[in-house]
Amino acid sequence: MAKKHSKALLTLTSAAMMLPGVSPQSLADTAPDKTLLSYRYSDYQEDDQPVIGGDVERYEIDVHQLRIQTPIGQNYALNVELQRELMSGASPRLVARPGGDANSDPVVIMSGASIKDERNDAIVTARRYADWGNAAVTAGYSDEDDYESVSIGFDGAYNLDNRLQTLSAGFSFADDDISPTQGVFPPNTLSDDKQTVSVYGGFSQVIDKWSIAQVGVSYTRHSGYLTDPYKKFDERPDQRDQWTLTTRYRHFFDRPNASLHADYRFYTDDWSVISHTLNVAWYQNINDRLTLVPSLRYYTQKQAEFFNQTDPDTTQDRYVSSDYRLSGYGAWSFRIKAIASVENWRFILSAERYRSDAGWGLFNDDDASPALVDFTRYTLGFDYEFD
Amino acid sequence: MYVSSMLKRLCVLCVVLSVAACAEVKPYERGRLAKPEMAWEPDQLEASLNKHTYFSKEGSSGGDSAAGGGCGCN
Repeated sequence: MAKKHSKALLTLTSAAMMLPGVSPQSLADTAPDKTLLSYRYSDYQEDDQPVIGGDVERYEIDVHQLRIQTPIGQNYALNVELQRELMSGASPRLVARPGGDANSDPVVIMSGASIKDERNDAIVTARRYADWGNAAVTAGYSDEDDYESVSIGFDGAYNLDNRLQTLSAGFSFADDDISPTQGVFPPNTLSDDKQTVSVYGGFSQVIDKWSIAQVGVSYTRHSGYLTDPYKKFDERPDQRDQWTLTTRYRHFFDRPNASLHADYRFYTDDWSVISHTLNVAWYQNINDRLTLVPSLRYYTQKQAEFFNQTDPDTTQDRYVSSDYRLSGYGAWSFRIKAIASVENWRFILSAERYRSDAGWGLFNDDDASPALVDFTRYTLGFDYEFD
Repeated sequence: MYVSSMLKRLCVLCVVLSVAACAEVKPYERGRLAKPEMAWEPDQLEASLNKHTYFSKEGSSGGDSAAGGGCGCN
């Protein structure tokens, strides 16, 4: 009797494993059986701010994204992502105290007239699926007026313990060419390059019927020209080693028919930047056709050891940067997203508001940058699935 | 120093995950885990744009997978 029972259970279990929907989405899954076509349009707009010279308008960017994922045979899938960005606006060139008065608040001086640029990006991934997991190769190419990037990557996932656990790993290499455009101010270099090598390892675990968690570490080395070519008083080391530790958690709640996403990343590097990032999202299914997703993100970072925005001594300091992105600060981002499903279509509408402030940081850095960015982003798009 | 701090955090997380991983979940009990909204990245294009935006505007990046290519974003 017990044997009959276990045989029936084994048959049921095997049959369940064959269904594509029963393998956890977060684990190494089976190959897609349909083609998915996705498009997104995003309008990204940075807030203008008081400046002394140059164009007062910071960046506005129109982003078009197209993705197609299609099965090839039973065990392979091809994924192509294309992205086109149309940019206009200006970026901060330096920060100074008006009249050289050490007691006055520093103000932003922009990079001259508004520029127009476009960036085109293509990423192609071929993935093989098997009982043991999956493996993929990815090639990427990105091109803009003053920058070109070529990258290649490999990643894989290996299932353990009857697909309750997954080990994952990835490797990527990028070779970037920098050729700054000549504007009102001469750039810091005429032509240069940099390389990026990155490795990643992760482990995910099904905790129970409702939840799954993942932990991962990554190491990235950038080498070459890492200075910002357009900023005055900017001279950075030609190498940067970055480490991250990430955790992700998903939990499904039956009663509200919703799922919780909680992600945390700890980051540190050899420029003395440390950061914490916490992202929490709530996927609320209103009915079979509508899902609302509010999410909140908090980010804080410690300033780089050579960040100095108003008093750089270029004769004494080997490295210096006034880039606001290397200053200490905190940032909050709130996003709301609606997903409507109608047969094979999914329509997406979302809005994000991002605000940053030196006073919101956790590291008590004393050199607050006035060039920190606030932005608003709206996105609309669709997914269409077909045989 | 920071690597040793990272390793300590990683060890603690692995212990927490191993301890938490005590329930056996049969394949036919994984329906909730298979829902699209339970994926690590339910919307691939949104994830790509988020990664690109925060990479361009913040002083740290990486962690979700291997890093890939860069951009001249200012």
